[in-house]
Amino acid sequence: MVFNTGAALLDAIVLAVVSKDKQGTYGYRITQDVRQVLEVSESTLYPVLRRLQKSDCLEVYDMECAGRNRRYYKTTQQGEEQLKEYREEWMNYSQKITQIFEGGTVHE
Amino acid sequence: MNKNEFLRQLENLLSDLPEEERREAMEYYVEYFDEAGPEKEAEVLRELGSPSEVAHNIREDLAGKELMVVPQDAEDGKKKEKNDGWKIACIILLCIFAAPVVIPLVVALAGAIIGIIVGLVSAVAGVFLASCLMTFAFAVAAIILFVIGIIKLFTIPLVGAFLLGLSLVCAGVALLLGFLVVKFLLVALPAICRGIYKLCKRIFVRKEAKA
Repeated sequence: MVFNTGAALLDAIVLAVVSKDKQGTYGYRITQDVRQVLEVSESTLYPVLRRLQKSDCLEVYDMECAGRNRRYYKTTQQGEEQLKEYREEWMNYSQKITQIFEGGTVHE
Repeated sequence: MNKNEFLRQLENLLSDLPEEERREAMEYYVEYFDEAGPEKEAEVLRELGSPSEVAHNIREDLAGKELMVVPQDAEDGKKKEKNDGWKIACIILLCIFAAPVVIPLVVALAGAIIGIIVGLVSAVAGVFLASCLMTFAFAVAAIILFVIGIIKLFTIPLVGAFLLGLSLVCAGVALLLGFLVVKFLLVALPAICRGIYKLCKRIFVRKEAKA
């Protein structure tokens, strides 16, 4: 991977990954899913989850699973709206870059 | 390092955080290892990096700083920064230890160079002075010999002629030396001064260009 991923983009990606599961998903799964797309160090992902949780984009609940406790993360209403904003921002951003790479001019 | 060692170190590194934050972080990573299972323990340890990296990221995030996500192998850049700092510290230490030897050497060298310059200047000045004096001396000798020569002409003509001849020789030498002295004053001295001026200018202009 050539390009660095800024914090905002990473937040957006994690939010999108979690939002795919309407019931929510747990830390290990989220990491594996994100790492299929991005080469991120796992040590970066917990802070992202924590940040999204503190900003009320994600909520957590615990579930007993095979004698172990599992913490699930689920998107909140606010999280879904934030995700929508991220999606639009990404559309704009990536379109402009694509245009520049393909030699066109950048339109407002 | 194994999982328990990792977790123990991580907990230590987070001990200065608020209890709730530490607890939540530890729970997350304990659960993470559990989910991966014992067969993936080595892989997880590799993915996570060192406990200090993990703790650092958690702390940075708590401090509200943006975490830039870099491709894994580019994290060596952080280590390189630490290495550069270490290198600079070593260089400074080396300078401090070398100073007792280097400083006297430099002073001695400077002294030697100054000595040579002074010597050269003195030699030139000495030759110049000597030439002036000799010119004067020969001129005086020429006059005296001429006078005595004329007088002797009336008593012992041959001696008088000889003395006159000598006085002419002295006059010739005086003229030659005088000519050289004057030439030196008019040509060589200004040239030397200009040369020194140009040398100084080059030194200072070079400094300006560097700046």
